[in-house]
Amino acid sequence: MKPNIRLQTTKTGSLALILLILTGLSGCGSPGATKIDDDTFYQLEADVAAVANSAVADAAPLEIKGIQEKLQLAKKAKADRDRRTEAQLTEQIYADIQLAKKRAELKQKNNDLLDLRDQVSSAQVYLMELKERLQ
Amino acid sequence: MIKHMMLLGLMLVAVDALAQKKNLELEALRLEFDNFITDDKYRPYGTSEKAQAKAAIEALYNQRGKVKEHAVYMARHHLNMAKMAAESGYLDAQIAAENDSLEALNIETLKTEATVARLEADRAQLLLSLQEEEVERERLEKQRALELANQKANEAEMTQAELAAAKEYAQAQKKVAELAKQEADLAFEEIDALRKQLESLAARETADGLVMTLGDFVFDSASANIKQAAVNNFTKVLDFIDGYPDRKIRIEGHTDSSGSDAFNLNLSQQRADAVKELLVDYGINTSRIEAIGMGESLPVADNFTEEGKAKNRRVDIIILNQQ
Repeated sequence: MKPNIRLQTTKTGSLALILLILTGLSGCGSPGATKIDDDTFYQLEADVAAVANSAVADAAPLEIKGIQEKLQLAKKAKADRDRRTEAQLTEQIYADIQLAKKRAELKQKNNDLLDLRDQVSSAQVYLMELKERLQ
Repeated sequence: MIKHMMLLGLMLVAVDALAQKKNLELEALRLEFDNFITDDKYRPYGTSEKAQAKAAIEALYNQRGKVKEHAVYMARHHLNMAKMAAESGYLDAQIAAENDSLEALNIETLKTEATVARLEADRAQLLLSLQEEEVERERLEKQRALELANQKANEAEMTQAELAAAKEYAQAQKKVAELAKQEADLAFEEIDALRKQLESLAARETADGLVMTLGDFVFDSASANIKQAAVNNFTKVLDFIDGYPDRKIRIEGHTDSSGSDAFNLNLSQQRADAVKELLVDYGINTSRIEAIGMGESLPVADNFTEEGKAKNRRVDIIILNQQ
């Protein structure tokens, strides 16, 4: 029974080694399109602050909150010198900023549309009153 | 050893579950994309973003090995951006349509406002005209009332004046009538007196013949005109003459001394001629009659009193004695 056990142990160890290699490879994916240097995070921090202090923050508060949470993760990744994670978070944060801006733009357009519909409705009522005066 | 095996098994299951989870997320992403691009509402909009999202998702499917969480996140980002771009395009179209509607409404409103303004102006003009007509009508009514009042006042004044005039006229007529009556009475009295005087005429015997004297009452004052009443009552004279149809007649006119001799001579002649003409008119032959004006030369009384003058103003009708 021992040799069998030894054989099994050897096979199991090899499998575990393969799994470990695969796991390691899966964790070492491409760092993303964003290139990271020492100033990247500070630029990102400034860009996030600019958006957070703009009208976008009022129009997309949830997106800004998520961005600021991810900024903290990026800060930690920078501190941990985890450049891959920092690069992914940086790319995601800029994508989120783009979405927040678009959300604010959509909100503004929705408001404009509602305002226009109100104007149209008021104009229709006023026109109807005018026509009644004509009769 | 068994423990290691179990641990390894658990790790494999965990890795597989994680991979399945990623695959499920990817599948959900694909389904979401498919639903999105088949939505008619957003079909015309965000075409480039849709292409980017499609490429990102297809890249995930084509990726070798397990799908990375970050890659899925970014693919979802592209899908979200495509949705927002489509929503943005849809909103732009809606805004453009509403703008068009609003513009059309504004144009129609402006036209209608112009029409209403014109109508109200017409109404105001009409109202103004009506008010002016009303004012004019009231003015004319007042004027008519004033004219009527003036007319009535004038009529009243005229009536008063006419009444006064009529009264005056009536008074005058009454006076005239009274005067006429008085004159008539006087005339009647005079005629009666004249008739009596003529009837009382008496002839007297003189050297030349029978004389009948007509006093000056027969004539109008200072005139040769014989009074009508005397003419009508000349019967006594005619009877006197008719009593001597074969004798000549001399008619002598006499005056008082008032006035010049020539005047008196002329007046006495005219009076003698007037009596002659009257006798001729009554049928006495003119050849029998001689009329002579004697003037004031043969007075029968003094001319210092009115009574004496009255006696001297006379016409003597003399039935001459036969030669």
